[in-house]
Amino acid sequence: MSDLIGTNRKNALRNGRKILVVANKGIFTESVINHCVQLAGRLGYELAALSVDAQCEGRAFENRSAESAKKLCESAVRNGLHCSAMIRSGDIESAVEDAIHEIKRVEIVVMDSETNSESIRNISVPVVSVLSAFNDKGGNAMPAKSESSKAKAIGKTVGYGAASAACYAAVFTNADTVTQICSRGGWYAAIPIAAVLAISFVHGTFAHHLWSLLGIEALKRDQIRKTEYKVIEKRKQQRKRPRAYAYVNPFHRIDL
Amino acid sequence: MHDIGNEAVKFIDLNLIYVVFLFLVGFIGGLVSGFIGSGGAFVLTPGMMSLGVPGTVAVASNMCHKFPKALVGAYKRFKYGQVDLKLGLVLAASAGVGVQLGIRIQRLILERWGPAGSDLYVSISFVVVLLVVGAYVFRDAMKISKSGVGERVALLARKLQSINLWPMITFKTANVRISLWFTLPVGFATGMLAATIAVGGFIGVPGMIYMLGVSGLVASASELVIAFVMGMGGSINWAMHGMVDIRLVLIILAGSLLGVQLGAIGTTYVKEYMIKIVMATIMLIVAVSRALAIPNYLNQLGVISIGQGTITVLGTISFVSMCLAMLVGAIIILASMWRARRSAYIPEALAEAR
Repeated sequence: MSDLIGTNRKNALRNGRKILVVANKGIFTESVINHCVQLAGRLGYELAALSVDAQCEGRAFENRSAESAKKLCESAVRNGLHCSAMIRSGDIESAVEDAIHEIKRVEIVVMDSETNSESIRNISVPVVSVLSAFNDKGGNAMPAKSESSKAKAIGKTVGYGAASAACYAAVFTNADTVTQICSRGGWYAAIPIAAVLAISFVHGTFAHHLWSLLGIEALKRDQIRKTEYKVIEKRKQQRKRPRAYAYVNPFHRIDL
Repeated sequence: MHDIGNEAVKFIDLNLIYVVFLFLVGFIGGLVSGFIGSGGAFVLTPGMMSLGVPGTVAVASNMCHKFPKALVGAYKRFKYGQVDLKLGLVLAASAGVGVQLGIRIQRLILERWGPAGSDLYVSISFVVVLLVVGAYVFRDAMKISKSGVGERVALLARKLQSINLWPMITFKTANVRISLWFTLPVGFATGMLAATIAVGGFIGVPGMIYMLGVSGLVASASELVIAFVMGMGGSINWAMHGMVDIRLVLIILAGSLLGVQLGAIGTTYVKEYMIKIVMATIMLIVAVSRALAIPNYLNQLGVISIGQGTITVLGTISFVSMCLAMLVGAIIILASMWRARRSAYIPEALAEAR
């Protein structure tokens, strides 16, 4: 990683316009990587990757961010773009501001929508927030965490699937008896009602985990709106500033 | 309580084809219900009857699978912040009264004109309600789709909301404040239609949208609450008469619980007017399907005279077009989900700029 940072330091001092890509907890998600690489390719900008160790995790953070930054740089290189990477520690906002001043000509900051909005409130360059993942766990964002949560998800799906299959097997191996009892009427009506409610819980939970495992999860509209509001708020704040800056409309046409 | 559980005629023998058929219809029905709030189950009753299940058992089993499905769908959409529980419960209460009246009217017609008269009444109700409401919803959805602006509160709803008639109720999630008196006809009509054609949502959801001023998303989600309450009441009633075939219910549930969750997830991907488009499309195709069944009932009543061959052909086309309605609905949902998913990680404003 130190080699990577070392070689990329030279790139950082290049004079081209840059997009500063800020990692969320040391990780650049697939969405962020795709977005900034495509954006930089179209605008003819270079990329500068920044990981901020806000929690002072030290070595673990460095390793994690190095691996993720490598992915970003590789992706950039594949697309014929220059990419530099750096690691800072401390407050995200000041780290980003320092990086902007150090590497010069940063036109846009691309961030993960999962990054705490409070920590990027006063950045002097337009910030584009990219929706990182559909799931609560950060999707591809954290490979280590994602793997464990995926294992958990598989476990739950298999568990509830087995429970659901057991319920169905129990009913259908004794289909005649169960059907007769359920159709006796009167107070026996409680049995089919309770059975369907139990199945709706077990099989319903299985279905929920199955769709999650297949990557089909609800899209967080609120998260998108939050991102839009954040961008709009940022634009309003920046209009009041006396200094000149390059205005980039984050809503402009982008084909990915 | 009449014990008819052991009657040989009642329960069919299941084979693999029947199981697969019921599972698939359950899945597609669940998908549609999860998306538009209801309307996914109407194929099941004729579908089960075509397998040889007696009419009452088909109706009872269909209803018994509907309420847990609605429960799961409502819970899922509640988590997405789309369900107005208060609105659902208020409407469900008045829908209960509507159901009772609907059943009484059905009984009166049955006594007076027999089963053919009753079927004719059901079919005419289907055609009239679905054509009128479906065409209106379709026109509105197309207007929104073309103009590109979001859903607007209907003029009637705005006027009704401005009338300050005690008791006023505030529905927070729906973001509506309206007099209780205006919610009653919507719930009542939902119950009436549920008792007549078994899908109250075809009037409940448009009623909530155009009379109360609720958005399509919240209306379709809250309809699931109404479907749960009414379905649970109806299921207990049918189960007490021993009419529920638990095997059929469980097979359909296996598919529909998967479908209803997918449909509910789908609502978070698509633009709100898609709910109206899917609902209107299904309503209009079903209206045509039921219109094709009318000549048979008129023939049975002696009003017109047509050959048995024609009746069979019309009956087949009617059933196929009903299945087609569900399939078209499911395809629209899945296609729009697929399209939305492809551009989903781009913030909406960027996606719209394309």
